[in-house]
Amino acid sequence: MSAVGELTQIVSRRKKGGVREKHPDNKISLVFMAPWLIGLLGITIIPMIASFALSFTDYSLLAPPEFVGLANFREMLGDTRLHHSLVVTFTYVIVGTPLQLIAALLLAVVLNQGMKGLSFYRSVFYLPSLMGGSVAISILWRQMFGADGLVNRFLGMLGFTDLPGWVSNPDTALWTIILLHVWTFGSPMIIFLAGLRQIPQMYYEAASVDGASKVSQFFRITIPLLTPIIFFNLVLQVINAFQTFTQAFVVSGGTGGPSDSTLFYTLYLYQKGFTQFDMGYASAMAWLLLVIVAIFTAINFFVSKFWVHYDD
Amino acid sequence: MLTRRTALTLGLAVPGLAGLVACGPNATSGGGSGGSDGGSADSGSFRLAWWGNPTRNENTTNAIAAYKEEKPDVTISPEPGEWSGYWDKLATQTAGGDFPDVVQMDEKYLAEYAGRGALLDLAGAGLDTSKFVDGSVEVGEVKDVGLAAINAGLNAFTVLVNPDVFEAAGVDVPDDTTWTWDEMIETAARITEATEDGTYGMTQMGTVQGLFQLWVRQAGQDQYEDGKAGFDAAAATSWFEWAKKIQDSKAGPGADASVEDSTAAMDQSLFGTGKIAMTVAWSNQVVANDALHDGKLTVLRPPSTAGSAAEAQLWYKASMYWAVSAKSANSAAAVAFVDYLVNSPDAGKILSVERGVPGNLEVREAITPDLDESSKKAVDFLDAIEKELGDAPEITPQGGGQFEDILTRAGQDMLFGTITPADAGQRLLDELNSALS
Repeated sequence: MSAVGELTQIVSRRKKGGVREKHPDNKISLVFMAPWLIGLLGITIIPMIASFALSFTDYSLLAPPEFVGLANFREMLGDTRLHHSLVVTFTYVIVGTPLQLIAALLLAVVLNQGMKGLSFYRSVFYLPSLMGGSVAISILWRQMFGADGLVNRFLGMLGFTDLPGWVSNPDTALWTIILLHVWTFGSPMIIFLAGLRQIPQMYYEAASVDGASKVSQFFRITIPLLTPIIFFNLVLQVINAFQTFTQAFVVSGGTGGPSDSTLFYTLYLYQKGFTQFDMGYASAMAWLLLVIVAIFTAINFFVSKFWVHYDD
Repeated sequence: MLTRRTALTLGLAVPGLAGLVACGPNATSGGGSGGSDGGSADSGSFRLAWWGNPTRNENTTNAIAAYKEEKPDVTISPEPGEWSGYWDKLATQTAGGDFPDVVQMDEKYLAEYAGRGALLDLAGAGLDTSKFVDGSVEVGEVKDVGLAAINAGLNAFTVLVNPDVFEAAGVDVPDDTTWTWDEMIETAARITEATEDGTYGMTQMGTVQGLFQLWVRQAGQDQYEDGKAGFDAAAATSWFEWAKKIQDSKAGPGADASVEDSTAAMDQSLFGTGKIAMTVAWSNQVVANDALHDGKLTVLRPPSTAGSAAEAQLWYKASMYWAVSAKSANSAAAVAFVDYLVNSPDAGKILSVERGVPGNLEVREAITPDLDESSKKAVDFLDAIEKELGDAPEITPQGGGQFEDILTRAGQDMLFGTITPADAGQRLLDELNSALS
């Protein structure tokens, strides 16, 4: 029997009603969800449970894990590199995310002016989002911001001398990665664009009639009506930023250097697990990160009550 | 318009994403197939992993092809890599129970892998080591395992000189049997002075593990002693003071450029592109470096504190090893291939001395007449220092694999001026001790 035939049967059975008779739907829905379910179980749920169990062990990857209770968590309290990596990551999230959202919003507003070739520009600006997390772009970044890179050559032409190697100086290395993050504003931009499209034109027309300037229209109409979208982007991007790994790994050559200035939390987690053979500790770190991200998300939701306006 | 309800739905989906955070570590323990029977030596397929450079990749690929002609039923999947990514990958593969059958192994990770049962006892598996020179087999032995890895070549620490840069600066190449560490910096500073901007006398060597080890050996200490740090904070401090002098005297590039240079690939490094007169390397790297300079490089002894090569405390290191996975399903074929790599004069001729000078004397004799100029430089250097060698150092204990990272961090902090050489020396010792415990 064809799948379509089966579906028709299910639908007709459904029309007759009755809670018990609905059961077959559930079974077939499992089949349809299977690709996703298998992924969720195999790549997310099971590894999560395993990493939770491993966080209470001393596990070297090469030998079976040994139960050590809370020792890994106690060790975190005194681990200065871990504390440092938290500072690096918080700086990145707290500075990088707002900058990225502002860039995304401004471009979305510009693109929303009904200009010609919108879909082309939209694609062009979205491109960095697709590539920004990739190894190739990170390598490009390292070359561009190197001592002899494109950026310094350009600045040199403008007459600047004694320029640092931006990626190899501990004072500037993190900022080049933050810049890379800001540049990948594409996905929040697309969401903002969709949000802008939904704001009814009549508000702007009414405001124009009343003589409101474009700027005050932006702050008094666009921003308030867009707050749910801003909130959504903020939550999503904060979670994303906490998990940044590729850029830091490639730009610093996997070391988190120079002088640990780009030692992101995830990078340190990786070093602990895979180069120092301490997977138990790394698992414990993963759970700490989960808790931190959860707390940040909870704070975001709590604070949202005071600034997000819903239309209902 | 977005309503509260839809926004909440989106919001609820988001914490779910947070769960992804924890999905990093793949938790399956290293099962794999038992591999107890080991299969046949003359057939089957197995994987071969090594790190290297273009020269080595070509040699190794040729050796695999030659072996296939002898044993057509054997299939070898090569997995070449770069040093920097190799160890991460190997650790990941180990965790996933996906360890390659034959791996190129380094001294600093040997105890790490062998001590945890990942490597096969090659002597027990019947590898012939009878032709090896004295002392060159023992360096692969690990307690409770046996012969965990077999020496793929001998090595010593060298200073590589680019004579073109010396010539451009009008400076003579120093006498390497009498030069001291300070003379090295003075020579380099004169070169920097006499050449155009962006060309330097020497690389920043303060984060080079092998040279650090030589420094503490010349102070009557060593990198490790009885599985613990073998040097004191004073020796480490004097090392960092010397490294700082490279930067302060402009003998070498500044901190920024040095950091960048240390992560660059060999052919893109300052020395590789002809912008540096002197750098340090293990002798097996002579060939690859020489290829970048049309065979013009000169190989010198590293300097000594006493100004006498006889007291330079150099040593022969196993440049790298071959090891076989304890869990290999085809261990017989894998061991037979390792036997070919280290004991066959035919393989020796293909591989030459790129992995170091062969420890197997029969192989060494067979290949010496046909060596090209670059390889001869490496062999001649090893011969020249044979009478001057110090005692062989201990192999790196478990946890010691991190030493180079620790040295790099302390060294960079010191070079960027955030800590003093004395702080760096103390930190080096403290962090090494905590890594070893």
